Amino acid sequence: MRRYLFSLLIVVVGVLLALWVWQTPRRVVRSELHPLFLRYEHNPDVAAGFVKNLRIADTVTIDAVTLQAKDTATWFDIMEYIQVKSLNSMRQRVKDGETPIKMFKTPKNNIKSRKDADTKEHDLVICSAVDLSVCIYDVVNDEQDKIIINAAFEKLQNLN
Amino acid sequence: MRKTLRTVALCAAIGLLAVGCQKEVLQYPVSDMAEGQNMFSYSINGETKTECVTEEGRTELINYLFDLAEQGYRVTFNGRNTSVFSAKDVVTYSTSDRSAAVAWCDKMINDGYEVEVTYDRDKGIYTCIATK
Repeated sequence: MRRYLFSLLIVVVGVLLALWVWQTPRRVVRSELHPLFLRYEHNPDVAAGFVKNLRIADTVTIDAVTLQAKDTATWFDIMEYIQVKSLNSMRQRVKDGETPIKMFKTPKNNIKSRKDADTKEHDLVICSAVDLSVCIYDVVNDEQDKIIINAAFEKLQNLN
Repeated sequence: MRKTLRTVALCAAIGLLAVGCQKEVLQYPVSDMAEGQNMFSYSINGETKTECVTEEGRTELINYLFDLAEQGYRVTFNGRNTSVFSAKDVVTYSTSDRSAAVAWCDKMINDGYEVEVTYDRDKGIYTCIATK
C-alpha cells in the first residue's frame, strides 16, 4: 500500500513539474534580442518592447520587437537609422495629415539590409504612422507575412 | 404502309432534333461574351485596350500588367476601382479591394520592394507605393 502511494506521489509530482515547465515562458537570452531593440531599450523617447509568442488575428504566433516613438520626429529618426527609402515624401504625407504605413522585409537581425531576404525565415518590418511604431516580426514562413500585412491594413482602416 | 409510317416517324424525329438543337443555340445571348466573362479595360503607355476575360484570365492579365509596370511601362487598369502607375523603380497601386491590396503588397515585399500604404477613408481607397 505504501509503495503504491509513493508511486502515485511520484506520478503526480512529475505531472505537476511537466505542467509548470510547459506553462512557464521560455527565458529569452539577451543575444537573441533584435539589435534595434538593444539600441533603443534605454532611450527615453522610445518605448521598446520584446513580445514572445505574440498572437495576431488568432492565427499566427510570432516573436516581435515593438518600438513606439513619443513623437513624429523620433519616429522618423528611427526610420532614418534603419535606412527606409523615400522618407521625404513620407514626411510630407504625415505633414499633410495622412497616416502612412511602410512595410518591407530584411534578413534576420539585419535591419539595414534589404538583400538576401528571399528566404522563408526573415524579419518583416512595419513602420506605422498610426501609432508612431516600428514593429519587427520574426517571420518563419511566407503565410505569416500575409496575415501580418492584413492586420496592419485593418489597423490602418480602423484608426483612420 | 408500315414503311411509310417509319419514314415519317424518322423524319419527324430528325426534325424535332434539329429544332431542339436550334433552340439550344438560340438560348445563348446574342453577344460575343461567353458565360462567366467580363469586359476588362486597361492601358499600356496610354494605349487603351478592352478584352473579354474570365475571372482566371483577369488574374493572369493583371499579373502580366504588374510585370509590365515593374519593367517601367505606364500601366492603368480599371476593375473594382483599381489603377496601377509605374516609373522605373516606383510602382503605385490604388484599389478599394483590401484583399487585393494585401496580396499586392505581399507580392511586392517578397520581390524586395519597400511598400508604403495610405488609406483614404472618404473614398475607401488604399494607395500603395512600392519603391526599390
